[in-house]
Amino acid sequence: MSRQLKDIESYERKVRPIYDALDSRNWKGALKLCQQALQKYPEDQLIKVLKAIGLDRSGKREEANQVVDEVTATTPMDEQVLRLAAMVLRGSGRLAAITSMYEAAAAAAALQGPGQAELAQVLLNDVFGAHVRESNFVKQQQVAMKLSKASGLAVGAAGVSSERYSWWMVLSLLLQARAALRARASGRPAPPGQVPAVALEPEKMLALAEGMMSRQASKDKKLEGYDAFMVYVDVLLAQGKIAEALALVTGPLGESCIRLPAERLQLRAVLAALSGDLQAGAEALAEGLRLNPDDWGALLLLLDCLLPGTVQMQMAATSTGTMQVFTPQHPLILISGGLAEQLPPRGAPLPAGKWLAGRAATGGSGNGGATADAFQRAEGLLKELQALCVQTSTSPASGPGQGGDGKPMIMRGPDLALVELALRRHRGAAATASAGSDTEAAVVDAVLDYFHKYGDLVSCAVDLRTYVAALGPGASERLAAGLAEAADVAAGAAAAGDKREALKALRRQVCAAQLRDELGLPRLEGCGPEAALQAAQQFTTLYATARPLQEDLDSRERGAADELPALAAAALVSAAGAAPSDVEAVPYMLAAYGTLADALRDRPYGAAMRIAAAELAALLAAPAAAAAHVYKLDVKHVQMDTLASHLLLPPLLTWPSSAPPPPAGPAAQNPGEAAPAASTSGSGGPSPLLAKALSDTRALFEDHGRDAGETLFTAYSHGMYTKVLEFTAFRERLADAHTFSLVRAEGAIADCLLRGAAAPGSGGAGAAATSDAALSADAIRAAALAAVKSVKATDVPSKDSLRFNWDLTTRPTWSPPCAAGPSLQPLQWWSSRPACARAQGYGRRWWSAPSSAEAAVPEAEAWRAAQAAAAAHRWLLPHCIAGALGATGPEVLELRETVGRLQALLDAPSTSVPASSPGSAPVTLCDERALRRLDVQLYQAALAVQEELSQAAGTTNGSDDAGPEVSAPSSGPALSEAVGAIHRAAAAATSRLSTEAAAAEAWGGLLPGGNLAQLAHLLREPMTILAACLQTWQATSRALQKKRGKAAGGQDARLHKLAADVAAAAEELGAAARSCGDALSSLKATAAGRAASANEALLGYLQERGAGPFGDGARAALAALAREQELTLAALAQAATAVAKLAL
Amino acid sequence: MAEGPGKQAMGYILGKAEGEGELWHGHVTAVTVGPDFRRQSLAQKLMDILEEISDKVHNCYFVDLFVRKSNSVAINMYAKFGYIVYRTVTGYYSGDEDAYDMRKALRRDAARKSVVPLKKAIRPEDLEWE
Repeated sequence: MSRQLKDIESYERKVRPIYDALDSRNWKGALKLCQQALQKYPEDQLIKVLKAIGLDRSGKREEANQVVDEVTATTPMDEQVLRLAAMVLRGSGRLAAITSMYEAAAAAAALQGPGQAELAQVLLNDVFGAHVRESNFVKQQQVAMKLSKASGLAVGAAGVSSERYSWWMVLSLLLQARAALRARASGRPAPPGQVPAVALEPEKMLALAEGMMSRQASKDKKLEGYDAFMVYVDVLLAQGKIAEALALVTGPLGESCIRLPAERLQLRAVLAALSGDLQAGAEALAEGLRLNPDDWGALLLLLDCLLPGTVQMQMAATSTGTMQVFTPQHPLILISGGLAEQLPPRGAPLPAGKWLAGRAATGGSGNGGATADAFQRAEGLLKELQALCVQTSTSPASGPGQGGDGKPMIMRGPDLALVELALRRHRGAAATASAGSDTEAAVVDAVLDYFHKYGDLVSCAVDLRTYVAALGPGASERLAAGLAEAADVAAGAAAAGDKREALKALRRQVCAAQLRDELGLPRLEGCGPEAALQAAQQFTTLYATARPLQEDLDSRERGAADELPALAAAALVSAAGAAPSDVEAVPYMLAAYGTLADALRDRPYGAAMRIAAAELAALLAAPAAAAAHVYKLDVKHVQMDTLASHLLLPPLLTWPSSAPPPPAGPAAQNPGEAAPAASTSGSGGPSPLLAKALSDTRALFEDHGRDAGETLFTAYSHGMYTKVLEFTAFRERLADAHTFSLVRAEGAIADCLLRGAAAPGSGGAGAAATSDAALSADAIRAAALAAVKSVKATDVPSKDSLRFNWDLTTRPTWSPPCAAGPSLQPLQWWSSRPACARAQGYGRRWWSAPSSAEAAVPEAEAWRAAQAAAAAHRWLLPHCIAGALGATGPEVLELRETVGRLQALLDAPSTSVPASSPGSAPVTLCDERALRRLDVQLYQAALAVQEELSQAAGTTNGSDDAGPEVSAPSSGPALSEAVGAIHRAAAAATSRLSTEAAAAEAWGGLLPGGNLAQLAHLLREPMTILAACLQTWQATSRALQKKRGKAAGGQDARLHKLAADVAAAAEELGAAARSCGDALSSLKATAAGRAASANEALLGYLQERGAGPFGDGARAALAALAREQELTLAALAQAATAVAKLAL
Repeated sequence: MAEGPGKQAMGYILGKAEGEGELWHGHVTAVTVGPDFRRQSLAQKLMDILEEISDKVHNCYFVDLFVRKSNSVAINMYAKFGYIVYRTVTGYYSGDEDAYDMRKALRRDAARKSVVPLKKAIRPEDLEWE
């Protein structure tokens, strides 16, 4: 055996066990083996990077990076070494370091001449990937060009063909065009590297890309495949070249690239419609539907083409004014993540002839743009498709309606399309003002027909929601009567039939109940609590009939009547909405909570029930219970953004809690039924629940930002070009997410306040906060100085820079998305309770449609504006806190500017949807704007005091000549006004709370959350910050007085006055905090002193009023809720004491 | 993604084509139907689409999927769609649970060689494609 071979074997013997140890996650062992191996091979790069991996995995990130830096300094070229080094760097977010590492390696390989050409090519491939990670579209394109030139015709060294490299160029160019379009639309410059240094019009870039694609297509007479073809179509559409796109699809390239005929047909249909040839579109769609009649998207598009005047119109602004355009929505087009959407002309102008003819025929007011003939043709076609469904589903041969087990498949599309058609006809008739009662009756009949056919499907109520929501009061009554009758028949059948039939009959009854609720019937609003209690009773009675029918049902499967407890709870909350005062609303909310808790014992994964329970717990000052319900939903990944953020952040930001995070998923047995143990740490201690929620949510965005590059590079490598565009758009969407701004801002605020800051990743000031951290002005200042780093002044969120990903449809009808940011959401609910707690007609709410958070309706726009303003306010707060406490640094915005910006946010015309309805209870709670105004007042006062102090310091430093002409106005009035406002808000809440407590004794003392939330906010933020400021100012003015006393031998009257003002403010704030604290402590003591029988008293109270009966689930959950509210009271009392201590 | 009448997400299927030679196949990564839209054959419609794409677009030999051994509801459903248990993969789910590798042959595998069940269980690290 040669010496060399022996060496290799001995080397292998050292390295192999390291890999094995890493594979089995034995980091310690791996590091030990590395150490041994390095003794024999001290300079070996591979062993070093393996060591770095071991260090990284065992949490020693810094050391790992040091080792990697050592290795990269020697310009390694070995692919494996580079790959492992990149893993460590990526984990630390050092994407730029990966790029320079591969650039250096590729350059070094290129220098080694033709012998290493293959390696150079492989490394250059990795350089491309590195630019993809960094979203550097310009450099990507340059590298792709080099790769394409170097790789010749055959598949290159990296397994990528020259043709694919030229597609990489095309895509890099398209992404630059897209970035330029986005920059143009937003008015903000594109991020570095995304557009060429020499500005090029995006239209020109698109034309260039098209040129490259068409050259490729004409040269080879083929395109690489489906993805290449679809990108080609998309670029044509982006340039408004619809006819060319259509020609491409119908031509030979279309045939070779789109292998599924049905898909080609659909694309042809959509493009024909887009080009304005609606007839051709309709014909192609009908052809496709005969093969697959249950394609809902195609059915809707068919109706659009046949009845163009009934299209829900989008107005497009053009240079000559607004134009009515028809833009078919279809997954096969507009795939580029917003490329085509950004360029006019999009969509086709409606064919003037047809459209105008329709209008003229009815005197110009528009009849929906379609004639009776057209409606009849559409109806005929739908009925043909309907018949086809029946026919194929019962014929023995395998057809579109044939299930694998011989059972007919359910194909509800054409049936539902008939309901859609009836509604379109009615809308058209309504628009002409010709009496719409006949056409409305036809909608009712169509809905009933559909219900008769599909009422036993779980989706039936969801399918019909939008149609039912469109009906007027009279038609609603008729439909409700029809449904009731059908449900009665079903109930009769249920009694007679077997279990299977009984379940089906039950489903019909449930569906009828859901639809009646959608109709707002039986009417609960304005009918007193009895109606609501009765309705709830009916829902629970029906729910009880489901139990014996589904004993063997898996707990994760959907139960036949799972919708009912949530409906019952909703009915009870509407009684809470109608209650004359907040405190009288509480028993109904508790009844709702108990009802849900009982049902959740049986159906622990019922999402609607969990969400409703979480919202109730959030409103009743029980954050741990709220969190437990949300975590039971097993929320993860992107749901941290879409769901958890608006369900979890409000309770955790509103209420202090020292409860540990609940176990996620199945481990949590009966969440919300166990109260957390009493807090042992001080009020300034961390909130583990909040810390977890913030860091988990941040992790979603940060991890994706770090890792998206890998998926993207894979998509490039495999030629999945449409995915490249899609993934890029997704990466940008997450980076701009409203939630991401929120958690960064809230994390920074929590850091400043030394709450929830102990968890890793929650922000920069982690080290400053431990559970024992005393609340002191110095500690807060230091924390604020660190915290501002994560809320850069240049990145203040705005409506246009944010993406809103919240899935608002998951919210209960009675918990509408409110204008306040999450930290004030529960307070906002209470301050507009009568308007919020309306529980019926979910389908009529603007936010009940999927993606409503980004919908183009005025309510959604107002909501987004309000959310953005709230987010910006929160973003600026850490700067305010740092500035007010006198912290300065390159990252801290000057206090004057920050205050100006806060004021400007407040001055912006209020677009928030007015929440309170006329005749509602007098609003006594502060709303979000009032509290934000309080912040402005506070920081204005801080600014005034600071200026006066610094002037005093200036004069003290001997320059008496500064003179009175530049003298700052006295800060006294501003300060006393701010303290007074805070004091009044706290005192009012405290006094109302005492009154509420007395009334609440009737049902065992549970309090409403409004005044508590107001106090919680005041104590957590403005009172704490003001106390810290006062402490600082007192110290400063004392020092100044001392200095001045020595320097001038006398006292300065101004300084004396200022010191007295500050002392008086501290006195007032301290007294206010103490009085809050006393009241809260006494409430807490009363709560603690209540006998265990309090829960029985509550249940008795509720049952006496017709709620319940309640089972063990309700008992446990309500007792836990009461105990947690007691803990919240205790924590708030502690917070008040801490503020008082800090102030005095 | 199957979109419902109100643009709700009714369900989705996620898959890929992978493998070499006679092991070139379509793989079902995930198939999910929302609770509101169950019991109306939506999973089958989604599986049909994936099979058609594997067959006509990618010219695969077979389609395969992994399922928890305890998930009898899903196993029965796949069996109904024509899938057979090809083999067991021990400890596939984080070492906690075994998986069944279920397969269905496509037209290209006329001899149905891909669906002759293996008697011996394999370990996750011995899987050909992951």
